[in-house]
Amino acid sequence: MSRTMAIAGREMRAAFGSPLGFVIIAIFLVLTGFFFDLHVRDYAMMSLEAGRNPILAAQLNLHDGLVRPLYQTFAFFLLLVVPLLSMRLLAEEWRQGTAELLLTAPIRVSELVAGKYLGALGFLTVMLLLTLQYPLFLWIAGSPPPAGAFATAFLGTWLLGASVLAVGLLMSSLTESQVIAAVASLVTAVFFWVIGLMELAAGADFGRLFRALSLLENLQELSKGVIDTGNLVFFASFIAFSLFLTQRTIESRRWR
Amino acid sequence: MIQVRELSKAFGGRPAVKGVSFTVARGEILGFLGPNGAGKTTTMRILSCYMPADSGSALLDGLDLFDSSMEVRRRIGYLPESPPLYREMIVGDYLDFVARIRAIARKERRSRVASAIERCGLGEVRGRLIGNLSKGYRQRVGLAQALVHDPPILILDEPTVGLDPEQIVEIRELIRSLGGDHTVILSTHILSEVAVTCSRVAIISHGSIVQEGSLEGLAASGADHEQVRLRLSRDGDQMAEALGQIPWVLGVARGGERGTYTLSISREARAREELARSVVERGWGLLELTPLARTIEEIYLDATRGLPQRGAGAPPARAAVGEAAAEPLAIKGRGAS
Repeated sequence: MSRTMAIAGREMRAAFGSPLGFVIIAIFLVLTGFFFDLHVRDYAMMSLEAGRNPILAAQLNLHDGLVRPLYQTFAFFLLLVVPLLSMRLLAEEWRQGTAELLLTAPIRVSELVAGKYLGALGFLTVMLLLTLQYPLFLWIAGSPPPAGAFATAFLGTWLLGASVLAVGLLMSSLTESQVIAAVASLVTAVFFWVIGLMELAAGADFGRLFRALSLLENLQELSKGVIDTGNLVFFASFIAFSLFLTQRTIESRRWR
Repeated sequence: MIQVRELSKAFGGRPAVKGVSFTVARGEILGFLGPNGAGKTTTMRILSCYMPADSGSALLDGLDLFDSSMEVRRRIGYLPESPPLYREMIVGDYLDFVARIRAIARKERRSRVASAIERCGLGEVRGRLIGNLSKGYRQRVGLAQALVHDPPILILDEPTVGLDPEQIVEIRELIRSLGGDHTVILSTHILSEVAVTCSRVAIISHGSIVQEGSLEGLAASGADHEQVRLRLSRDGDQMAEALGQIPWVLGVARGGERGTYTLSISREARAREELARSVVERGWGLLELTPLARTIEEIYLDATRGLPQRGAGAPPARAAVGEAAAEPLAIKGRGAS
């Protein structure tokens, strides 16, 4: 455990100590900030509209009107940004030969994978926590925001980021090239994002399967404000399976 | 301390190491010598638990490499061919990280890191980024990394490669000072390095060990003849011929300087004595008689070229006498019995 934490700690320090880490946070905050502004303006327009339209007024609420679309946008940006975060995790170790240090130390491969993952997850969590400034702005500008809605939306986005991160770690274990790792994790993440959209084309049975495997579908369930164990289990299994494959990949690399 | 038996490893059907066996006693420094691609790195990677072998076994400190991998790893310090350094880390932090993943208790960590820094002469650079260090310092950080948990066994893959001559001397001094308390295996393709640092040598070629033993033992293993250099105050071709007539002398070659000859004589104890007496009796003016050990270069070239082993039961062929000194000396290989 202490060795896992040693690896995780080193990973965190490397991420926060490198220009790349700050560039990633900066890009993410600029994008999310811009879209926060956009969504708030949208919601304000709708509120004005609702003053004249009682049917709209009955449907309008902060949760569906602002929090859900906002965090869905954040989740989409995570899809693009997390591969940049995960690409160097193992690819860099292979490339610069430090894998030899880690794999000859008295650590199990599972401890190594856990340490790498937790380190990067720590960075991701800090990055996401910074988005909590947006509800804070709402609070300062007006009424207290719907805390429950924000909490579930945040949880869903965090789980999505954690899943993409696990895929990214797997891709990073497969190659020495950070670019290939980033592209491969982006493609995989987007695939699992859109797989739910193929529902209709795939027919009933496969459609259900695709829907169940879709990151987007599972995220939407959560961001409705309903915490369903089914969705939690999906994200947990998605992460666990990716990490398991990562561990296998590292083990198999030793034989070659 | 280290017993390796019949270790084999192939990559995609191409054998890299074929049935390597050797032993290293406690406190010894074994030099692993061989041309590039001979299987040195693969053997060391197997011993350091980086990759498993296809077959064979190895005991380190009485522990099986495969059954008690974690225990073995605690006892090994490993410096790979390129030092495994994080360029973005500070020397002190890096060594502390290595100590942590090497499972050293928090209490001891600081003192272990401090002693590794001191031992490898890193005091001046402990606060600097590894990426900004010179190659020599990086190599030393790599060595400090292998030493930080004070392992009884050290595996060093080409520890002096790419260093300038002064640094090479320093690193060699350091490695030599480690012998005694530590059992060291180091690989190199620099022959003089072995002569300077190692107490024993294993020569590996095409994945197999072709020679193993102490340096003196290998040098003497030229089977049943040895070479001596003779300097006389007389010179001339007839002289060489006359020398060839002396019993025990198997071959004669004129040396570069006036009056010097290189002789192959029988290894029997009396041979040198008899030679000296004959020369003195004939009044040729004996100035010098020096036994020539086979140099490490000769041993190495013979071993890696896969020449038939001389001596092992075979009669001392005259042609072989010439081969023994193929490079530096040109022996005519004539003589009488």
